[in-house]
Amino acid sequence: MRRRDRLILLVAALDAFLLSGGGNAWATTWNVGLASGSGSEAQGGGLPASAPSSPAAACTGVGTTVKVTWNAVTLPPHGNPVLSYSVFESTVSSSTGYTTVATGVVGTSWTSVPLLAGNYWFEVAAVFGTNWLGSNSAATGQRTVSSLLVCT
Amino acid sequence: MFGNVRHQNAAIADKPAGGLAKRIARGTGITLAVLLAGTASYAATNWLVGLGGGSSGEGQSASITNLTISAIASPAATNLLFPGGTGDVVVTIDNTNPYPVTITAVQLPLSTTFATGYADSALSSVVALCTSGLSDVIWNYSTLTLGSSHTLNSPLTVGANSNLVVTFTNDASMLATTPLACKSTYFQMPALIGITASGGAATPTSGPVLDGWTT
Repeated sequence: MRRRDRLILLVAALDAFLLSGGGNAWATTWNVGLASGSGSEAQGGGLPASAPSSPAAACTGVGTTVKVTWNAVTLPPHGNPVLSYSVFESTVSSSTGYTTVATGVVGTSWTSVPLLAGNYWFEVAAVFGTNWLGSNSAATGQRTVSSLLVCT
Repeated sequence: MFGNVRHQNAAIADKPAGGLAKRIARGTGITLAVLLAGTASYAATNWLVGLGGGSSGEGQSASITNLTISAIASPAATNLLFPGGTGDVVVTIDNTNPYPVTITAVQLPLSTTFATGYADSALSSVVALCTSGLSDVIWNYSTLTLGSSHTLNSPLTVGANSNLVVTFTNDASMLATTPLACKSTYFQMPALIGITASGGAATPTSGPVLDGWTT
């Protein structure tokens, strides 16, 4: 075969390769650019739907500490918040004067520090995360620490 | 005409190899030019496609259009966002190309880029204390690397000249520290950085569909 014929055959082979698939392999790397301004929507849930139920306070029998218990709140059906509880205490009455005495309580009970003489009431609220505080529960029954530091 | 061809061939035969090589090279160049001019027909069998608004060149835009991903209020997200939890993200993906496009992965913004909270599902009224500087709502699995790529659980194919409504299940994340102002709000998620997609023959996904990424 003459040199000219070999060259012509080579060109024909190259043409056949490009026409049969070479173009495709080349095109698969054709990147068209990056995202800009895409939009998408999510939706936030609300506060805990209810306050903890059946709050109760009981003297522990260990010094003047009081154990507060309650029923867990129901979590949202379609959500997975981090749930904890805050506990509030009042020495004024069952309906006023509450201050926060515990936050981030995991579970459904909390025990106070030794209490001084006085009357005590407690309320509990559920919290989602660190800032989504739900409504307070009803007040627990009154607990009294006497001047002799006896809890009743 | 044929006489001319014969005459040219005869001329080629009489020329030295260097001249022949030039002619062959010129012929190959013509072949390549034809292929370049006809790229659309070949490339359409399997093109890579990006999101709308990208930096596509003129030649590309003439033959391929980037996908557009937009927020959509309906269907509503099933899994809602709560502090410390995850929730759904709903989008509609528009494909204006005359062939299906298949998406296999998304590229996310930084995990420090927050969503913006709105009071309405139409995303028209920003909540003052739940802005993109405060919300603590991010794409789930986003990292401190811009454009981290996350493979979809199942590839999504958007039909030719069609759109597809997709819910990315639990692919938004609300940090535990999100402010109270963000309760019961609607979030415009941070813009995606990109997608991995290619055009070509494929069976379109029936929508609306649930999908997402889990790593």
